[in-house]
Amino acid sequence: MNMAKATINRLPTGVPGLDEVLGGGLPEYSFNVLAGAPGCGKTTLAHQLMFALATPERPALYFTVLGEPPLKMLRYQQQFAFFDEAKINQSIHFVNLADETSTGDLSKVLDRIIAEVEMRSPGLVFVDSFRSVILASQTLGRDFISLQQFVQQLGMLMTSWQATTFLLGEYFSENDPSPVFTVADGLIWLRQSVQANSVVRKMDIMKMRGQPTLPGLHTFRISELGVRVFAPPFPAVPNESGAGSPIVARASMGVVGLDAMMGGGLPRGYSLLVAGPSGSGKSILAAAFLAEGARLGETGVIAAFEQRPNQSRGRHIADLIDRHQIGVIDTRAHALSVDEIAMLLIEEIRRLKASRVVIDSLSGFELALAPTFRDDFRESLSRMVAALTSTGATVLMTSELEDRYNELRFSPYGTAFLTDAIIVQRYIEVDSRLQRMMAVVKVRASAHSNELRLFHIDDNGIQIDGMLAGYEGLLGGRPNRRPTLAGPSQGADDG
Amino acid sequence: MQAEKPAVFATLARLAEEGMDADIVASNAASIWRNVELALAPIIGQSAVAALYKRSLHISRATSPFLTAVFDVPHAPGDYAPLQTALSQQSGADASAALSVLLQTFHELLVRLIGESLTERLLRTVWDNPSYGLALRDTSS
Repeated sequence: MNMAKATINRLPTGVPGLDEVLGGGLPEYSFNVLAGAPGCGKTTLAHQLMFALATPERPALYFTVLGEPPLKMLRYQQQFAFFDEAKINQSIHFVNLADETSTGDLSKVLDRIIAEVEMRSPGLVFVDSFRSVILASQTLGRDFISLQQFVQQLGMLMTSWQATTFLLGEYFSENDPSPVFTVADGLIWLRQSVQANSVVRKMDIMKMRGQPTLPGLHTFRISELGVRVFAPPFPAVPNESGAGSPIVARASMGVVGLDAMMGGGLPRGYSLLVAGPSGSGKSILAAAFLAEGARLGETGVIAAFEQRPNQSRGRHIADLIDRHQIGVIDTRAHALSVDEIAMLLIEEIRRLKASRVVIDSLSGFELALAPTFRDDFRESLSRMVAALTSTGATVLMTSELEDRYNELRFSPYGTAFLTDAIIVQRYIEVDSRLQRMMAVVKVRASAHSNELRLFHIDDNGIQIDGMLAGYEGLLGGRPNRRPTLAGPSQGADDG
Repeated sequence: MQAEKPAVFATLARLAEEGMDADIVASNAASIWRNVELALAPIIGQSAVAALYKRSLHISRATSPFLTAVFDVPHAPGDYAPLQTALSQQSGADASAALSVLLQTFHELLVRLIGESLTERLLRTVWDNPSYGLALRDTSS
């Protein structure tokens, strides 16, 4: 006989990014703990979940215990966009348990919870904060039922009554295995990580029975819209269009002559690193790349980290932004994480069905990160690039490169290996003039030019000129005229 | 944004003008306050309702000094006898006016704390309860 297994419905939480981190939503009838220090966002997260999930068919009961006065909670929570007062006393019921808690008798608290649950048949139950329940039972110190019994009975009852339950706790200690943690099906820990002067909110799904949760600390932000979790970006599907498979299409770069240097343009779904010193024209190349896309009817997305983005983008790009052919990622928030930018980029790519993405520049990006994320910059960047290209978009990133004439470097982060293609720009001194030079260093799985080409920038953007014939030592920054006759070398590096 | 005031305030204001029997105002006052407490205490807790009640008394003393006597008595949740007694000792007009001010003060206090729409949602059943209006009106005719 083929009997069906129990089906666990997963409720979409309505909190951006949380479903991904939880491994597909919140299991129905689960018994969960939201733990963390004061101010870490437990009540906000609980309210956001409640307002998203509560319906007349699945009403919510929110028990407030001694912790935060409910009056204040209502005052502050209603500032969030998700707070919909039309649901209050309809699909959402607040119940104050202060009287029962103050007796210190957990069985009284339990009885009251049971009475309310039996009366309302809620689909969702919240107890805020559970810490107060524990404290009250301890300080009054009488031998009613133990905390463990209380939690076990509560967990059993709530599941039997088909309620998805959340206990909010303030000072649970990770080192002190509370009986709550054993009973709980889910344990979501909210933290505020401090490094130097920067504070970053992080969420850790320490336990979620039967779910492939994403391990690790996930950044989240609280704005007027509520909590937003930044799940680490994952390649959407195995990267079919990117490197490794035959190149089917190429994106033209918008600079005359550059496509030819790249073997016909930048293969679609590739990531390209444009490295060069300050002022060499990286942003202009990036702008040309987006403008060319717009000319061909494609849409693009830009995450710009320069100090004055509007000035450096130029009029044409500003027009395209106004016409919604190019989407702009807001990079002004403090203490960014790579995951946050990745999520914003991917959302914008999907929204605009964008095929071209520009990140200008990685150096500015790194500066905008919270210090705590700088150590992992390479790893996070590698994940982000994989996720971006997996959307099918072609990605151009610029990287500030200090001109070092005694070595050939492409990126200060060792990020060169991350990208499928590299263009390097440099300054060289020729006849007492500072000239610009560009070369295509790498285009994975494609033939490309090995020429070092001079270029200049005029009102129409980048103009690629010829090779500097008859010189050598160009990469050293001070090329020498190659001797026309075989003779004693003048030495390329005597300067 | 100032929404329309609940009907109960208009009723009380009118009754104050018409000169209503103070005893009736007083007994209605107690039942109105018990309903307020019934609507709010499960949500914000009895002690919060009690604190807001005390604060409202404190503010309303400015216009109705006799409320000082009520304010000075320690308030036990659910006990509106001191208010009822004090109101019944006034003239009908003074009692109606004082109750009106007290309820409006409480309402405005709650609006400042949790906003107009939420206050309205929580107290709608109390203010819209037609029994006060009827009870008050019946006896005035």
